[in-house]
Amino acid sequence: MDSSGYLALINPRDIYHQQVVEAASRIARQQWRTYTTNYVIAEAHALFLARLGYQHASAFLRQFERSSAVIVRVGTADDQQAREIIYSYSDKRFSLTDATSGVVMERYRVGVALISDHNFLQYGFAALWL
Amino acid sequence: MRAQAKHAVRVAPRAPRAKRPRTRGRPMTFDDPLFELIGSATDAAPTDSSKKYEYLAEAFANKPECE
Repeated sequence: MDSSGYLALINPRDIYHQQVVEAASRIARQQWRTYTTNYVIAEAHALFLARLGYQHASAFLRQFERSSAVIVRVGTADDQQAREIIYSYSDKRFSLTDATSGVVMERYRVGVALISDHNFLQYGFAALWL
Repeated sequence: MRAQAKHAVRVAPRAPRAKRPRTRGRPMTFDDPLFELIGSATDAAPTDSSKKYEYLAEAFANKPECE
Protein backbone atom coordinates (compact mmCIF):
# COMPACT_ATOMS: atom_id res chain seq x y z
CA MET A 1 0.00 0.00 0.00
CA ASP A 2 1.30 3.46 -0.77
CA SER A 3 0.74 6.81 0.94
CA SER A 4 -2.20 7.76 -1.27
CA GLY A 5 -3.99 4.61 -0.10
CA TYR A 6 -3.45 5.51 3.55
CA LEU A 7 -4.75 9.03 2.99
CA ALA A 8 -7.89 7.71 1.31
CA LEU A 9 -8.36 5.15 4.06
CA ILE A 10 -8.22 7.63 6.92
CA ASN A 11 -10.01 10.65 5.46
CA PRO A 12 -13.72 9.85 5.08
CA ARG A 13 -14.00 12.86 2.75
CA ASP A 14 -11.37 11.63 0.31
CA ILE A 15 -12.88 10.95 -3.09
CA TYR A 16 -11.50 7.39 -3.06
CA HIS A 17 -12.43 6.62 0.54
CA GLN A 18 -15.26 4.19 -0.20
CA GLN A 19 -13.22 2.25 -2.74
CA VAL A 20 -10.21 1.88 -0.47
CA VAL A 21 -12.40 0.80 2.47
CA GLU A 22 -13.92 -1.91 0.27
CA ALA A 23 -10.44 -2.97 -0.84
CA ALA A 24 -9.18 -3.05 2.76
CA SER A 25 -12.20 -5.13 3.79
CA ARG A 26 -11.42 -7.58 1.01
CA ILE A 27 -7.81 -7.80 2.21
CA ALA A 28 -8.95 -8.57 5.76
CA ARG A 29 -11.70 -10.98 4.67
CA GLN A 30 -9.26 -12.94 2.54
CA GLN A 31 -6.46 -12.48 5.10
CA TRP A 32 -3.84 -11.17 2.73
CA ARG A 33 -0.39 -10.27 3.99
CA THR A 34 0.35 -6.61 3.46
CA TYR A 35 3.65 -4.82 2.96
CA THR A 36 4.79 -1.26 2.85
CA THR A 37 8.18 0.44 3.08
CA ASN A 38 9.73 2.84 5.53
CA TYR A 39 9.89 5.36 2.66
CA VAL A 40 6.12 5.10 2.21
CA ILE A 41 5.54 5.52 5.95
CA ALA A 42 7.68 8.69 5.92
CA GLU A 43 5.84 10.01 2.87
CA ALA A 44 2.44 9.22 4.37
CA HIS A 45 3.37 10.90 7.64
CA ALA A 46 4.41 14.07 5.75
CA LEU A 47 1.18 13.89 3.73
CA PHE A 48 -0.93 13.56 6.88
CA LEU A 49 0.87 16.45 8.56
CA ALA A 50 0.09 18.56 5.51
CA ARG A 51 -3.57 17.58 5.01
CA LEU A 52 -4.88 16.05 8.24
CA GLY A 53 -2.76 17.59 11.01
CA TYR A 54 -0.44 16.43 13.77
CA GLN A 55 -2.91 14.20 15.68
CA HIS A 56 -3.83 12.04 12.71
CA ALA A 57 -0.22 11.90 11.53
CA SER A 58 0.95 10.70 14.95
CA ALA A 59 -1.92 8.23 15.34
CA PHE A 60 -0.93 6.71 12.02
CA LEU A 61 2.65 6.09 13.22
CA ARG A 62 1.44 4.65 16.54
CA GLN A 63 -1.08 2.28 15.00
CA PHE A 64 1.52 1.02 12.55
CA GLU A 65 3.75 -0.08 15.42
CA ARG A 66 1.10 -2.67 16.37
CA SER A 67 -0.11 -3.59 12.89
CA SER A 68 0.45 -6.91 11.18
CA ALA A 69 1.53 -5.02 8.05
CA VAL A 70 5.20 -5.60 7.35
CA ILE A 71 7.32 -2.46 7.07
CA VAL A 72 10.16 -3.30 4.70
CA ARG A 73 13.30 -1.26 5.29
CA VAL A 74 14.58 -0.04 1.93
CA GLY A 75 18.17 -1.22 1.65
CA THR A 76 21.13 0.04 -0.35
CA ALA A 77 20.51 -2.45 -3.16
CA ASP A 78 16.78 -1.56 -3.34
CA ASP A 79 17.66 2.12 -3.43
CA GLN A 80 20.22 1.64 -6.18
CA GLN A 81 17.86 -0.47 -8.26
CA ALA A 82 15.12 2.14 -7.86
CA ARG A 83 17.47 4.90 -9.06
CA GLU A 84 18.31 2.83 -12.13
CA ILE A 85 14.59 2.51 -12.89
CA ILE A 86 14.17 6.27 -12.60
CA TYR A 87 17.17 6.93 -14.86
CA SER A 88 15.97 4.51 -17.52
CA TYR A 89 12.39 5.85 -17.73
CA SER A 90 12.89 9.53 -18.52
CA ASP A 91 9.33 9.81 -19.82
CA LYS A 92 7.80 8.58 -16.52
CA ARG A 93 7.36 10.43 -13.28
CA PHE A 94 8.25 7.81 -10.69
CA SER A 95 9.32 9.26 -7.37
CA LEU A 96 12.09 7.46 -5.52
CA THR A 97 9.46 6.27 -3.02
CA ASP A 98 7.32 4.80 -5.83
CA ALA A 99 10.32 3.21 -7.50
CA THR A 100 11.58 1.61 -4.29
CA SER A 101 8.06 0.29 -3.66
CA GLY A 102 8.17 -1.32 -7.09
CA VAL A 103 11.54 -2.89 -6.36
CA VAL A 104 10.36 -4.19 -2.99
CA MET A 105 7.16 -5.55 -4.55
CA GLU A 106 9.25 -7.52 -7.01
CA ARG A 107 11.53 -8.80 -4.27
CA TYR A 108 8.58 -9.94 -2.15
CA ARG A 109 6.74 -11.16 -5.24
CA VAL A 110 3.79 -8.92 -4.47
CA GLY A 111 1.66 -8.32 -7.53
CA VAL A 112 -1.08 -6.00 -6.33
CA ALA A 113 -0.74 -2.45 -5.05
CA LEU A 114 -3.37 -0.57 -3.05
CA ILE A 115 -3.04 2.89 -4.55
CA SER A 116 -4.76 5.87 -6.05
CA ASP A 117 -1.97 7.41 -8.07
CA HIS A 118 -1.09 6.08 -11.48
CA ASN A 119 2.65 5.67 -11.08
CA PHE A 120 2.38 2.02 -10.17
CA LEU A 121 0.37 1.26 -13.28
CA GLN A 122 3.16 2.80 -15.35
CA TYR A 123 5.50 0.39 -13.60
CA GLY A 124 3.32 -2.55 -14.56
CA PHE A 125 1.70 -3.62 -11.29
CA ALA A 126 -1.98 -4.27 -10.87
CA ALA A 127 -3.95 -1.84 -8.71
CA LEU A 128 -6.55 -3.14 -6.32
CA TRP A 129 -8.54 0.08 -6.72
CA LEU A 130 -8.27 3.40 -8.55
CA MET B 1 54.79 -16.57 -14.08
CA ARG B 2 52.98 -17.18 -17.36
CA ALA B 3 51.45 -20.38 -16.05
CA GLN B 4 50.22 -18.56 -13.00
CA ALA B 5 48.76 -15.76 -15.11
CA LYS B 6 46.85 -18.30 -17.16
CA HIS B 7 44.93 -19.34 -14.09
CA ALA B 8 44.46 -15.88 -12.68
CA VAL B 9 40.93 -14.95 -11.78
CA ARG B 10 39.73 -11.42 -11.88
CA VAL B 11 38.33 -10.44 -8.50
CA ALA B 12 35.79 -7.66 -8.18
CA PRO B 13 33.58 -6.61 -5.31
CA ARG B 14 30.24 -8.30 -5.44
CA ALA B 15 27.36 -5.94 -6.25
CA PRO B 16 25.01 -5.50 -3.30
CA ARG B 17 22.00 -7.69 -3.69
CA ALA B 18 18.89 -7.47 -1.56
CA LYS B 19 17.98 -10.68 0.16
CA ARG B 20 14.53 -12.14 0.04
CA PRO B 21 12.87 -11.45 3.34
CA ARG B 22 12.53 -14.14 5.94
CA THR B 23 9.52 -12.53 7.55
CA ARG B 24 6.23 -12.90 5.73
CA GLY B 25 4.20 -11.04 8.31
CA ARG B 26 0.86 -12.04 9.73
CA PRO B 27 -2.30 -12.01 7.65
CA MET B 28 -4.30 -8.80 7.85
CA THR B 29 -7.55 -9.16 9.82
CA PHE B 30 -10.37 -6.83 10.84
CA ASP B 31 -8.96 -6.44 14.36
CA ASP B 32 -5.71 -4.97 13.04
CA PRO B 33 -4.93 -1.55 14.60
CA LEU B 34 -4.92 0.02 11.12
CA PHE B 35 -8.64 -0.68 10.85
CA GLU B 36 -9.23 1.61 13.85
CA LEU B 37 -7.95 4.46 11.67
CA ILE B 38 -10.45 3.97 8.87
CA GLY B 39 -12.46 7.16 8.45
CA SER B 40 -11.00 8.60 11.65
CA ALA B 41 -10.09 12.01 10.19
CA THR B 42 -13.64 13.31 10.48
CA ASP B 43 -12.38 16.87 10.96
CA ALA B 44 -10.32 16.88 7.75
CA ALA B 45 -11.08 18.84 4.60
CA PRO B 46 -11.94 16.86 1.44
CA THR B 47 -8.95 15.37 -0.36
CA ASP B 48 -8.17 13.67 -3.63
CA SER B 49 -5.49 11.16 -2.67
CA SER B 50 -4.32 10.80 -6.27
CA LYS B 51 -2.91 14.32 -5.87
CA LYS B 52 -0.49 13.38 -3.11
CA TYR B 53 2.50 15.00 -4.80
CA GLU B 54 0.66 18.29 -5.20
CA TYR B 55 -0.20 18.19 -1.48
CA LEU B 56 3.38 17.43 -0.51
CA ALA B 57 4.71 20.13 -2.81
CA GLU B 58 2.29 22.67 -1.33
CA ALA B 59 3.26 21.68 2.19
CA PHE B 60 6.98 22.03 1.58
CA ALA B 61 6.54 25.26 -0.41
CA ASN B 62 4.75 26.78 2.59
CA LYS B 63 7.50 25.90 5.06
CA PRO B 64 9.29 29.11 6.11
CA GLU B 65 12.76 27.61 5.68
CA CYS B 66 12.00 26.80 2.03
CA GLU B 67 11.15 30.39 1.11
